[in-house]
Amino acid sequence: MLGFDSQRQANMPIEPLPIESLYRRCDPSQLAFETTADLGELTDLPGQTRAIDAVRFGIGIKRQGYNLFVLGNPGSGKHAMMGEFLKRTAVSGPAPLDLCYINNFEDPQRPLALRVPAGTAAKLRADMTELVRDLKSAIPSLFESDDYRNRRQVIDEEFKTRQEAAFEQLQERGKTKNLVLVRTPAGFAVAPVRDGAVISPEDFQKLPEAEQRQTQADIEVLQATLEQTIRQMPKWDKERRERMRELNREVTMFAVGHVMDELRAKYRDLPDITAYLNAVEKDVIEHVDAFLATAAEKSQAAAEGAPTRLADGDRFRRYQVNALVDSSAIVGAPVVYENNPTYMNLIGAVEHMAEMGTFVTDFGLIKGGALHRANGGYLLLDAHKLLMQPFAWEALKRALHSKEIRIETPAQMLSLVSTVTLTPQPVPLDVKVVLLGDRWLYYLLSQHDFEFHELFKVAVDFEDDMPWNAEATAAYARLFATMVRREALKPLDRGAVARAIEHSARLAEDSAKLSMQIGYLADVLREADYWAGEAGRAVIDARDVQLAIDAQRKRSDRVRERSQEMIQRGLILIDTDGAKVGQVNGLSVLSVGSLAFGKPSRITAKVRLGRGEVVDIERQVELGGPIHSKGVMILSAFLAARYAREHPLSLWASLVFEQSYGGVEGDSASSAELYALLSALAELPIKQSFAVTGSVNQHGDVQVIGGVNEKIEGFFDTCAARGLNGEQGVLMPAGNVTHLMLRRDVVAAAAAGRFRIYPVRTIDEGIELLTGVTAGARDGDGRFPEGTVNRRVEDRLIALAEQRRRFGAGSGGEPS
Amino acid sequence: MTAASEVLDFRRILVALDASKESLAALEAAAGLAAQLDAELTGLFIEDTDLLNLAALPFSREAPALSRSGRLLDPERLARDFKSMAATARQALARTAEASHLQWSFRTTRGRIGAELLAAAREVDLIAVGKGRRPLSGQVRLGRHTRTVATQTTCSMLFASTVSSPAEAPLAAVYDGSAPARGALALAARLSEREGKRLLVFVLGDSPATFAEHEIAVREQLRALGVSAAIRRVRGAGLAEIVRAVRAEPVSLLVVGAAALPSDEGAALDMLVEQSACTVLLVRR
Repeated sequence: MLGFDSQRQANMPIEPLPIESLYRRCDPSQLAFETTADLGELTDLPGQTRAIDAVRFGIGIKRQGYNLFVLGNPGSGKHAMMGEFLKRTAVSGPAPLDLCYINNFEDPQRPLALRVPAGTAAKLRADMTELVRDLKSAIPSLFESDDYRNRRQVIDEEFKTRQEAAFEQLQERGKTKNLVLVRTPAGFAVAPVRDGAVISPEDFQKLPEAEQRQTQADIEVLQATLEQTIRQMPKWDKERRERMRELNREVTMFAVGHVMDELRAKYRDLPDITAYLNAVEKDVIEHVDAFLATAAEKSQAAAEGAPTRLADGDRFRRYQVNALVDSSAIVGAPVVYENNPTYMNLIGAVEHMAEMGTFVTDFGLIKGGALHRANGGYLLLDAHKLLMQPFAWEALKRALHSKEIRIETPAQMLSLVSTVTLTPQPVPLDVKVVLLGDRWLYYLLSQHDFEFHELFKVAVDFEDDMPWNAEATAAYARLFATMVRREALKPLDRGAVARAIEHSARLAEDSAKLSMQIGYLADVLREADYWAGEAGRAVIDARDVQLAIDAQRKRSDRVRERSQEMIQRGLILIDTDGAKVGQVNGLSVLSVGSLAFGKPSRITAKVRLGRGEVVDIERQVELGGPIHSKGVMILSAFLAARYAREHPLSLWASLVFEQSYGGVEGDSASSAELYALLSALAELPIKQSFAVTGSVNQHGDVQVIGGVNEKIEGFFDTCAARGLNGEQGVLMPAGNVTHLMLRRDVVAAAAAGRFRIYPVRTIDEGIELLTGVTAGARDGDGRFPEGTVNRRVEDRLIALAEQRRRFGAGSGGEPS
Repeated sequence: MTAASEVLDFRRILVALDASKESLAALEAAAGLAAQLDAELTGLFIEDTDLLNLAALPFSREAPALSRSGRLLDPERLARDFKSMAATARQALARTAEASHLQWSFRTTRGRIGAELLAAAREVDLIAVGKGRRPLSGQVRLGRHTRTVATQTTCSMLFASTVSSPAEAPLAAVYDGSAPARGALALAARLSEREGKRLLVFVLGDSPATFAEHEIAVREQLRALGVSAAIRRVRGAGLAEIVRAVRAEPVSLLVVGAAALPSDEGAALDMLVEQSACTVLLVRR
């Protein structure tokens, strides 16, 4: 095995990246303001032209199904932007109608919906309360008046007289025949009398036979008349009740009529209300007893020596108005955000109350939902929350399809129960629903819910980032000014704005882009405001922003620190100097909550004679994901294609992430794995002062990966903790240079020449850096030059193939 | 003449019972009175021989009140009905009397109702009956048998109303200066004191002088009894005036001396019983 000292020192064709490539500064001197207080507010989010156009279209088009799904990453500001946009749009929209539910006097199980101009519901409710209050005093006073009593007494007397007369007539007719009416335990009978006493059977027998027959005949006639009279009693009583009812109706109409006339005049332009008032009048007349004091109420009033008061029990609920939606305070069309879109909060519900051990309900217990409140305007919902609520999504779709809000319980909706409950009259629905959600949710719904595109035809796709140019810088400054103003934060000076913009590029993981994660940026500003306050500054400067960024990271940094500590303590084996064959430092990114950090991992490769297999040990034990396995297969293909074109690839190689117990996914380590394999085959040691990231294709090109900043910083932290020796650095894909927005300490170390970052385009470039040996290109004979990495690898593979051939010829079989 | 402090003493009270609503009201009123006056309560059920004779006639029929057709008046069924009614009456008496810790007895007799009641009246101080009702209209009236007894007996009588008066309704007495009126006032005062109810006195008179004289007498008698009362003047000595005064405000019990009634006592009682909603106690001594 060759050591570094004995190797030919190759010319280093690749230079470390210049400092300006590691971090893109936002120059405060280019910002034309002192503090954000000098800037105006931003009305639209910068860089979201596509989304804003989609919103304008979605709001403007008045066709069924043109509801909006706003998709974008969390913190993209889509929620605030949509809220603001809708509020601006809604102000000029038509005022929504009020919605009431009223008793259906014909069928109380089916309450009626009343849609009336804004502000009318509350007035009608108050008017109905006033009406009942009036009637509660007006009707009893009329019914307790002498006039009413007299008329009632006249009717009573008339019928009593009629009955008495019938009875007296019978008595008189009997007297002439010596007959009297007598009471029996069950009724009446006609009895023959002599001297005031009923004649005994013995005395009756003593009467002449003719007299007996005559008496008997007389009794039969009178008895028949008596029976006929008794049969007429119920009829007469019914007539009396009818007359009483008619009297009550007349008196009630007198009491109710003028009050109702006033109300009818007040609402004459609203025919629905007029019809309702007519129904109320009719019902009051039919149920006037409800307005008359019960015996208990009279007794209580007498005991208290106070005027009789009617208890406000259930008997007057029927005349209440259940004002579900009162739009009197709304200017323009309503914009409703339902934070908890449960089925009931969305569609409304019929509530019940316990009464005498059972649950009862009526129209007064109908509760409105967000759809009711947003009707005529806009309803914003979080798609994820909506989909988490049982039945809510289906109910929303049904309402949008049918263009009406039908309040029913989920059990009713699914036809699971058939108990008697209310069926409120459905309300016509005209609402623009705006769903806000992540992209994956949008794609998931698109793919699996065939109704989704019918109902949410407008996708409002929020950008995650925008190009970082002068306009973007200016727009961001105004965005910060807007945030500062709305949240009453301290103004930011130019330095603070510049630092926040730089942080935005870091969030975008791209020095050419600015992140649209407005939510995260807003958090940074809020926290910078706090730190500025702690420092007693009236204006936020760059130090406060930096402190906010650092403190935010520090708060969630425990796992990263723990990981680095284990490396420093030697519990996780990572070399940062020296050189080893078949061993390289790979880099990976871990995400813990809101923090992503990089950490080095030792990747090793071992080779021996075999049948051309490169074994991904991670995959074998199911710790490697499919993309990682793909990377390993690609590097195997690269190996075979480059070095074993004319002979069988006769090696068995194993690749492993040492001390990895949590699984490996992604192909960003595939270049590192290939370097380890090449090192093992060439028996050339790899400098452990380097760490490597980048995926590789079958041609040996190094390709871009994600999390490049975190990965570099992860290895930097490990090296820095041990002391930077000027040899350490990271090999990264050249394509990722534009993504660099490294931490200031990393940039500072690089500027001081104590840490280097190399952009690598090919495996050959990388292996040269790592081994210090020229990779080598095939010459005219198709061979790699002597001493190069590639020649050593090829020779080794040819040797292995020859060995395998010999081995096979000798044993008659193939080595395992 | 009854002394100011002398109170009529009802030791034995007879209640005519037939298990009807009216007779049960009489039982309640009589039991209340007996409890206040430590009297003994006797229940009397009369098997009406008029009805029995009628039922024995082969052609007799009855017209049940709640039936559209008549039926034979069966003697056996009538006998069973009498027994059942007597048992019900006895149970009601026992229950009511025992609830008030009263001495009580019950007997059944057979005869004509008026005659039997008059005979029983000779052995008691007070007869309690329910206000009757007209057969078809249900209008309150004195009743044929009750009228007979009321006009022929010398015993005091209680005509109980089935209409319950408000709990706070006062007791009332009618005062016309007569000895029975003084007895009635003393009794009403005693009952009001024991029951903790207000007392109302309707003083009859036809001139300021008479009113003044009667009022002084009433106040003196009440002072001696240690009872206070509200006094209402009723101009004229006619029964109609008394009835009007009683109807003007709710009264639970009206105590009237027999002397206050006009000479045609039967007609007067008819009017008093029919037109006053409250229970009426007619004091004869």
